[in-house]
Amino acid sequence: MSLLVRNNPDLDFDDLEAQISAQLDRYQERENTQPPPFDPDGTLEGALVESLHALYQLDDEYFVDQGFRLFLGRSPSQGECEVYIQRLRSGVPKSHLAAALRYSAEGSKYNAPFGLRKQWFIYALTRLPVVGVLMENLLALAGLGRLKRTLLAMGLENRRQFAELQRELDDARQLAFRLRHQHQELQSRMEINVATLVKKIDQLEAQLSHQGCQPAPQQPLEQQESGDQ
Amino acid sequence: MTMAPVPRIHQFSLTMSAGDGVSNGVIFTRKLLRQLGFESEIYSLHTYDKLETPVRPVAELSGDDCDLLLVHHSMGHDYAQKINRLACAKVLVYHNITPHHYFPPQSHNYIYAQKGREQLAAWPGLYRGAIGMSKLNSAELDACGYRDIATLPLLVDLDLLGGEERAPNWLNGNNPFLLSVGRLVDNKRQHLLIEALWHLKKQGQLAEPPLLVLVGGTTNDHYRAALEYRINELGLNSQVLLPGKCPDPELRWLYQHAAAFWCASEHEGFCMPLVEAAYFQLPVVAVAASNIPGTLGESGLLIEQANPMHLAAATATVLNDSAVRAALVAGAKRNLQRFHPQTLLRQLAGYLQQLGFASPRPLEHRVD
Repeated sequence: MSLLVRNNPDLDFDDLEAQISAQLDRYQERENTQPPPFDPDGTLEGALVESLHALYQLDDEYFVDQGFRLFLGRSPSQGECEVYIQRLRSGVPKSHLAAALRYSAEGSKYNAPFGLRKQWFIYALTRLPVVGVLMENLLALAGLGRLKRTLLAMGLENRRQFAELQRELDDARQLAFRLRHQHQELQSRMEINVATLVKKIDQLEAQLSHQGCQPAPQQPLEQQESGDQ
Repeated sequence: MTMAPVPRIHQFSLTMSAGDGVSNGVIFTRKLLRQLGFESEIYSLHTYDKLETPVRPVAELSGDDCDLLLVHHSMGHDYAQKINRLACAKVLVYHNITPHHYFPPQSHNYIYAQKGREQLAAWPGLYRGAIGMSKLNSAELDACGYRDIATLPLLVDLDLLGGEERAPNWLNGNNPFLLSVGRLVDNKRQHLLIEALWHLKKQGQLAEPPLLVLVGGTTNDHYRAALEYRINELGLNSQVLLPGKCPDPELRWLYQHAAAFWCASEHEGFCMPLVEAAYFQLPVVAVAASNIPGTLGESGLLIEQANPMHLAAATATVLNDSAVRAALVAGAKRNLQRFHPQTLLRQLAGYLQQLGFASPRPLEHRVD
């Protein structure tokens, strides 16, 4: 059976198929070429991250597990998981831990397509004896400014959201007021209409009795409906 | 009804949105109709933001103001009665509908895909003619009993494929990569591409194993979850990227810089990405199924069986052999001629003349 559809006059398909077949024969002799069957119902516990941004959204063991899979192509052992969670809880930034995994011996060999050299450099500095402690303190000081800016920005954002909610509440109050007003208006119009109708019926009845006719007795509603059927 | 001095050939598409394949085809068709000298407008029930082309609400469409209406059909809908009642001649433009069994049972897509085919089968008597975007579509129209069928791929405005390119920020480094573009849904069979990448790595024919970038929104969450599971199961977490839909400049960059384009789809009414790949002179390796051979022409290697191992071996050959790549690029250039605006303009003019609508502006006097 042929491998390829012969769709291009510029290609020597006999030669091409011979090359591909030989390649496939060598592969099948050498390797286990059957992956596990595709499971259309397979799901992972939690989504597989595809970006650093998504990775940094995760916490604790989720971060560690996904970080290992992203940078080393495997899940962490129990011991590794504990070590990295401990580092996270001691305040090491996630980007530094990601860089540590990415540029570890195993990570360098795996070569995941993410560049974290700057983070790796800072992380490596903080791990040095004496200098590391100094670096950590300097970084913490540098981080204070950022933290202050973040808190201020959060405060501003909260105030903006509160003002927006307040506006929405005012709008809703006005709408409720308008609806109540419309409801009252409709109700009074309906009452006027009913009164007009009653008056007209009275007039018609008076006319009929004046002409010597009696109005036909009104049938119950249920009978009218069944009569329609 | 008498025809206006300048015939009015309008179009109806249920929805119009930026970046959508059918919407692009409708806009391109209007450009061609206007170049032929017809009056032509687009009418739609739902028009989404960011669409720069003016689209009129369908409520303004009247049979008296239209000599011929091109009705685009790519999914079932509940608005057919209004359109089919319009007192003007109509031509159905069929873009194909993904068979409903590819969608989760009783989902919106499942119900309307099924309805779309039922409508297609019910309407032949109401339409003066029909246009299939591909031979596969035309065969389906023929089987339903439509008359005056033409195969016209009025989808591709080659003039718009070029433009700004921007590297996506989620793709770091200079790793070579294979590209596939299409929604993540069962009929596109992206799981075969993931498996093919696994074989490609194990076959060891390439100095640097490429990444696989699967661009496209998710139509079926269940299938996407299964793809993620498969990627993890085969240890390809850092080699397969699922970035979702990409903006046009990023997509152009991906086409421009990919090593090859992959397609293992089981059902394609046309498969526009194959033409886009040809435009960017990107060699294609695809499984020969549905309308893929029809659209691909000579611009790629077509694998007879949906076998990921074969796909991987053929791809290694394409990537390692510059003569094969050159032959595929030359084939791509020839293939693009079929979708050239001039070719389509002539074909559309001929078809409309056959229906009694001669072009007000002769082709040789056309102004671009």
